[in-house]
Amino acid sequence: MKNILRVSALFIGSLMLAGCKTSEAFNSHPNVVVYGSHIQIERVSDHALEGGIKQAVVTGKSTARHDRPIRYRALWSDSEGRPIKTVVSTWGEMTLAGRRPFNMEFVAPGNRARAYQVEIEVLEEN
Amino acid sequence: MTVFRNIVLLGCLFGYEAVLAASTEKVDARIDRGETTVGLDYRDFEDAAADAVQSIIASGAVNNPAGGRYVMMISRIVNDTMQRIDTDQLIKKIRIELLNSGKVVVTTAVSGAGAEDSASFDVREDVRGNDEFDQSRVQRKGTLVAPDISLSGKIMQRNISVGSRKQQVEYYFQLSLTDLETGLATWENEFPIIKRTTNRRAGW
Repeated sequence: MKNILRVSALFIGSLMLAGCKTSEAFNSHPNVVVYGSHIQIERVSDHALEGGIKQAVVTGKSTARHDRPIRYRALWSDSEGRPIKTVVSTWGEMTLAGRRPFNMEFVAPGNRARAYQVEIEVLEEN
Repeated sequence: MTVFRNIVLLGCLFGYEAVLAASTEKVDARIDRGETTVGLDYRDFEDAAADAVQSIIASGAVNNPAGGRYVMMISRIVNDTMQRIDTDQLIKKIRIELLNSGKVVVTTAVSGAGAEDSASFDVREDVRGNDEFDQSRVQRKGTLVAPDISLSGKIMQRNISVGSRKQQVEYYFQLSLTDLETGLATWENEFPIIKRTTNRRAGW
């Protein structure tokens, strides 16, 4: 009986610790920061559209078992690293299907946007 | 006894007001994750504007082959929803972004509902030929720039019952960019926003 209680206490304790764990940010690519787990960034590419405006494409895969909501955005900056305040950097939301690939496209707000940083945040960890 | 009851009631009322006042907070729109509303709120307009701007720029429809910027006029934007919406909540964001992109400049002298800013005409009518003004500084005839392209659109709403207790509220932001030389739409897109809620919350 004591052993059962001990095992239960350990189990409950580990669950509580898991619940308290904060989501960590990691850079799997210099242009992408992921806040959360089970997201694998596979490719980040950018090219100039007609007219010289930059477009960035991020492809990856959710390694989680279940569908999870995320939000994402691209922050753009000019050639001197100054951030550009723009509505295109508004957070977008989507649901990543479990164990499925995903891709995101971001168009720069103009020719002066030279560099970008994509942020992906998992809203509900399973 | 009645006096005591009135004092208690008054106290409760002031307490309730105090709680309401204390619960008011300023929202940081950059990180706001507040509850989704049934109606259209600022986040919906920002989402639609962000998608529209990226789509317009990516399509190349605002790349002027002659070089320089296109002059754009804002045509008719119809609010076909059950809500009272100022369509500028969407259009202003798109205008600002297109202006900042360096691809487009917007005329306020022509719009779907007459001049958006009548000052361009007022100064000509009121000041031209008026001896009180230095005529060398009055705008000359034929200096207003005609638009090359126009932005028009519609915001639609559809309510669909989902079972007996829920409703699906569908909003569609439909936008078109027209080349005024040819009358052809060079860019068109639709940005749907779908919300599902209980019948009680969709009170229209």
